[in-house]
Amino acid sequence: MSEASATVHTTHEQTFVSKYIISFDHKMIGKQFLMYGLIMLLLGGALALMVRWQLAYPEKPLPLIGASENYLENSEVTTFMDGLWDNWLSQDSDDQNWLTKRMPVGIITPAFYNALFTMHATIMVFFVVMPILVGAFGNFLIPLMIGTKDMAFPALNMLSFWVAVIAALIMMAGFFVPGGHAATGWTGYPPLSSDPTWTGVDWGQNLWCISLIVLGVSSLMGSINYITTILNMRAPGMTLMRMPLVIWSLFIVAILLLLALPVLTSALAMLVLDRLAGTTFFNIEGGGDPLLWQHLFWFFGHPEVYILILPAMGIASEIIPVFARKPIFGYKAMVYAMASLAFLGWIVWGHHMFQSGMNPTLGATFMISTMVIAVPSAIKTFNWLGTLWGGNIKFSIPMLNSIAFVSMFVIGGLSGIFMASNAVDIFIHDTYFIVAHIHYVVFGGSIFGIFAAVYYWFPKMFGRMMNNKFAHIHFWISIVAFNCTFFPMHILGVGGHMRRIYNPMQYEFLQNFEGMNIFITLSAFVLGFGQLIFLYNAFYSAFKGKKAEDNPWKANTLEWSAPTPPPHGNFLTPPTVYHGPYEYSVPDMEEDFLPQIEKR
Amino acid sequence: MEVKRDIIPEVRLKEKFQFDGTDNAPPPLQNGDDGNNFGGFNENQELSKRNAIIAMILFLGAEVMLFAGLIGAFITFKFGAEVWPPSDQPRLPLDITTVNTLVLLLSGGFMVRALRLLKSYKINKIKNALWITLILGIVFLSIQGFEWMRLISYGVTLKSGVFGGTFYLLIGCHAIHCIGAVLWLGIATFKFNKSSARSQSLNISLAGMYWLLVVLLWPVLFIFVYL
Ligand code: HEM
Ligand SMILES: [Cu+2]
Repeated sequence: MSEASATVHTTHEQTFVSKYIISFDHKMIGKQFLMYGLIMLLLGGALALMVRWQLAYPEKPLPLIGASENYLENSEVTTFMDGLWDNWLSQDSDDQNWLTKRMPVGIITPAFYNALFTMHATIMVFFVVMPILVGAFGNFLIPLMIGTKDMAFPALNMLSFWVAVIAALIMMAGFFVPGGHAATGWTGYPPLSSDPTWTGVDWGQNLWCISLIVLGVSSLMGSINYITTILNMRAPGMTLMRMPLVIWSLFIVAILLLLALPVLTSALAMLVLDRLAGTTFFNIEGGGDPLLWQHLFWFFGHPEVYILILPAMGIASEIIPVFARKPIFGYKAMVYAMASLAFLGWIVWGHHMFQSGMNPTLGATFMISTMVIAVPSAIKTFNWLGTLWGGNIKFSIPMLNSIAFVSMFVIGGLSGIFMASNAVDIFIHDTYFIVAHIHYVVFGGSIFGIFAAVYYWFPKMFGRMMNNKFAHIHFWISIVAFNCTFFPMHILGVGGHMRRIYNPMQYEFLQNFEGMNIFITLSAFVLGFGQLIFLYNAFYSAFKGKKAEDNPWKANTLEWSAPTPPPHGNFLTPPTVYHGPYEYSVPDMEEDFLPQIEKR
Repeated sequence: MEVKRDIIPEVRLKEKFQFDGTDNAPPPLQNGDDGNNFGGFNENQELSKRNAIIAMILFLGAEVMLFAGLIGAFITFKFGAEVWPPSDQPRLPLDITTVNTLVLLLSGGFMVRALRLLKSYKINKIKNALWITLILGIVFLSIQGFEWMRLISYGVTLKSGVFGGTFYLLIGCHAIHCIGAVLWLGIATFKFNKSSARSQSLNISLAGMYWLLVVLLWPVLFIFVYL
């Protein structure tokens, strides 16, 4: 490792490969992670829309690629797709192609449906939100905001990205192996996942496990790098309590990653051995215990959900003071609240297992610890509100997305408290209520945090502003369509609509929900296609956007004192920090902000 | 609203700060700061040394969590079972493993001695301690390997229920770490001599830390698995 850290070069001509591909520069690695996450976002989104289609129009051909009604009823070829399907399906069943095996005539098969929702969640959690929030913004922001040239271990950093790419390729390969991809839900509960005979999924599940193990290695390298950099590479004067909150959040997340992922790795290793080497860790007949997986998975899993949300919290804490032109309310309380969230996150995993037949006393303990988590969450929320209170608020695009983050997180946090109650959870466990909760915290929280962060730091990353009009259209479509999509799921859940079912219309008591399911699906399509505006805006602006100034938002943190875009090595002169990051509207000063590098 | 402002005076910044993990100790300013060497960058030897040590500690933390997961699984099985080891499985060799545990702990002792001496540049003494560490480590591994062969011949395999499965997973995972650590430490020791002492001592420290993790994990595994 010591050798690796010595490999960074000063300014010299870089080839295309060393600049864009095998880059050691934290800013380029951050951009690589951003690209990676956005590409996977497209894929994960497409899978979600297919799931939604099936739930609203069960066993009807998908739009555009499905065969026509006429073909289904009379076998008459009328459209172009009819012709293709007709041709494909007339072949021998052995010769049939990828599509006809998974969705003949455009109708999703039950087996493929299971793979769809499994991979949707897996991709979104591990390949979208984590790479973007932790990989992209962690890499881009940490050295810039603590005032150093690069990460502690640039080579390790480069490796961490490419190992993540390998993990993604392994995961993608699962779509193409016989038996299809993993189909057990992202939680991979055995015995469904440990024994191929239940699902018929063979190498799909193996690749799922292996990919996540490899991804764990990537995250391990990243988190070691982040923690070391933050502990040891801060600019003179940048004390821990002068660090921007987003750096605090990434620091805490790196610790969570470091300690939580190895536990998942141990569980995944056992699962792979069960599948490939004939062990019986999760198989009762061999003396194993399927519940063990749930314990290990959720011992990792709950810290994991904080890995997904904490950086977004940090981002909101960064953006809200800038556009309220006020110091953050309760800086220290924010830091301690994040630390206690991270700590409490380790002792609540049982709330995912209330229905697993655990000892009721234990269940009550987990219920109480889970409810305690609401306290630091509330502290953070009220501090954001306190920052907004009486501020000179400017509803810029990053600000709108940050406020959306806070609002959606509140709804998601509140539904969390419902589910934390043991008695209530008996009723809503494994229903759409859970799905609503997940999406309010992860989409409403993390993804809106990502939007805010991209809009806010885009000028520094690419040296250009994003288009404001497109950004506003994207924001309003997203926030409205998001709520139309996910709010009704609470009602579905209370009505008993199970999650992970293929066809709700099979159940008499769910047939009344057909209209609501269709409404949700239509909103989901609006939401999904609305994201194309965002992607278009990002790619267009990266090349054609208005040139950005060094400090377009008049913010204090160090990255805005660096040139735009920052050169190799980030700062022209070594920064020295004189005070905390949130000195806005300082009395008796000409400007209403005071950059961290400026002496008063 | 009143804004609290604490400004570090110029003078304090010019001091060389010592990092002690507390809030008030920013990283040191580099000597001969020429603008190419700020914010703690790699050119600075001391800094990258400290980086490497911190990284190693973090890595060991992750390793401990990996073993925690495996040990957790083992405990579930062991204390969940009515009879352990299951009646159709052979007992594990307690006597020889106890001796072996002592061998490994002794090896750890010599490692500590080598690390203590590292700053003194008494090259020969350090090298001797390191070689003894390594030899004891290899003895430990050989005895383990030998015992494994015997267990396999008695029919304890990965497939013989959770008893065999957890045994090989847990002890095997430790063995892999042990082999890796011996190789790393061996190469580092081999490279370590009078002329390279300065540059290699960091490598020895890191490998030594890793070895100590392997040594200290073992008694925990021994207590759970063998006793
Ligand atoms: C006040 C804070 C929170 C509380 C009290 C809470 C509580 C819960 C409970 C009790 C469950 C299990 C419900 C069940 O399966 O029956 C759950 C599920 C879940 N929560 Fe939260 N939660 C909170 C915040 C969060 C945050 C911040 C995130 C992510 C960023 C999150 C993500 C999830 C996910 C992904 C699941 C579903 C896991 C699955 O079964 O697939 N939660 N939450
Ligand atoms: Cu949880």
